[in-house]
Amino acid sequence: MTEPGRVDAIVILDVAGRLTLEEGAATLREQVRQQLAAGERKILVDLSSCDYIDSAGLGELATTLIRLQNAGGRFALLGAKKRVRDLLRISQLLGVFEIFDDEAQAQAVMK
Amino acid sequence: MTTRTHTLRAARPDDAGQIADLFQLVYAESSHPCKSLEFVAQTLRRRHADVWHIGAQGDRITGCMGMLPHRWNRSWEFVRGVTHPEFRGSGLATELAQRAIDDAWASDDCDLIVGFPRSRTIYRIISEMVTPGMKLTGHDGGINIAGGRREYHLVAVSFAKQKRFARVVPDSSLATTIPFVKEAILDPLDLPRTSGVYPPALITGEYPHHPDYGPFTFHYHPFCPSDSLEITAYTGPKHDPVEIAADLVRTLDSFAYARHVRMAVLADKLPFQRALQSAGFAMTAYLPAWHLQNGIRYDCVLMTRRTSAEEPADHGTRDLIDYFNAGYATCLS
Repeated sequence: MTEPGRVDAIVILDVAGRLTLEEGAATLREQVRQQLAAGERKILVDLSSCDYIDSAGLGELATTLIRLQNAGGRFALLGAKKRVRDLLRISQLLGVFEIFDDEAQAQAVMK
Repeated sequence: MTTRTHTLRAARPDDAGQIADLFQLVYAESSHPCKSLEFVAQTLRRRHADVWHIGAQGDRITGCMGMLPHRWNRSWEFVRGVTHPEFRGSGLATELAQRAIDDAWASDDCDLIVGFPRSRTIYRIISEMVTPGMKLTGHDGGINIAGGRREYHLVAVSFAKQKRFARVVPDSSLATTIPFVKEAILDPLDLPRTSGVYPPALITGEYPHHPDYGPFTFHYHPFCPSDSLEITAYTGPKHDPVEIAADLVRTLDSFAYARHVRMAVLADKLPFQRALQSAGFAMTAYLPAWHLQNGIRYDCVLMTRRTSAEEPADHGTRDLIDYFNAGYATCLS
């Protein structure tokens, strides 16, 4: 994962490669924790460079969604590839996330 | 009020509104999905997937009882039982339960019936007032929320004598080595049994098979009030049960809002069960013949972990819950 970006009060977290128990899940959790502690309430996770999500990664995304909603914030996914969308679909989580295909659209909706 | 005034019939799509209203009335602040008109309407449209039986007086629905067939292990589950408060004690629930049981046993795809009674009254109905009566095997550790409070449900199973199937009990399993399971669960059920080797699977449940999905498949909805997570399979490459249990515990860290976790573990997988026990899980029910693979049935145990501090409501079943807790505590020691 790379350093968070911030555009118009929306924090963008890039997840590159894999979001799994061994790679990325704990990092995403910590980054979200830091952003919430800093007062941020709108987080967009960019999955356009993410190739694979395992059960821990799926759990981390679901937990982040709850965490943001509980904080009165907003959470969405950006650029999920077909393989990642398929995983969200078969785990019956696809419908619970807002998913955007391009960043400008996400920013317009989440603003 | 007697049951003679009720008509029993299959539910129709235009019953959805009254059914949802009935669940809203009885389960006001709960995780019950049938409070949703959309959910009820959807299930009523799914012919051959969900089976609803209705009690009615004229156009007014007075109660309902459903069966949910689980194709993956040929079990049917009692679901959606509710009686309008004005008609409780009328015998309606018993008639609906018997009708649901008869319907299940008449089907070609039902080897066993499972029920999760939430009160002593419902337990009495399905164990003593219908034929064949269901047998208790434990409790669920408190999955559901009703009236804003988590609550225990008992676990009950039923097998029909005319439904024969192959069931394997390995010599090393709990079923033959632990007196509590043998005496309290298996002897009263008198199920068919043969010796044999269990399959390598650790955990069983329903999940979509997909090469990318895993290593733990699951059922979880982030906004279900029950905050419950069911693990349905391990699909990863590891073989050491202690390592797999450790990975599971780390994976559960990612489901930080899951307050109740459950899984059906094959009965012979004692090292895995013990590793789960060390991670805070408890055995709360025995699930005879629950895993179905290549036409053969294998026993499982229900392992549950609850992280909410509040003790669930028991609706008059505390003695039964304590009985099973004490009995299963001897199984992994």
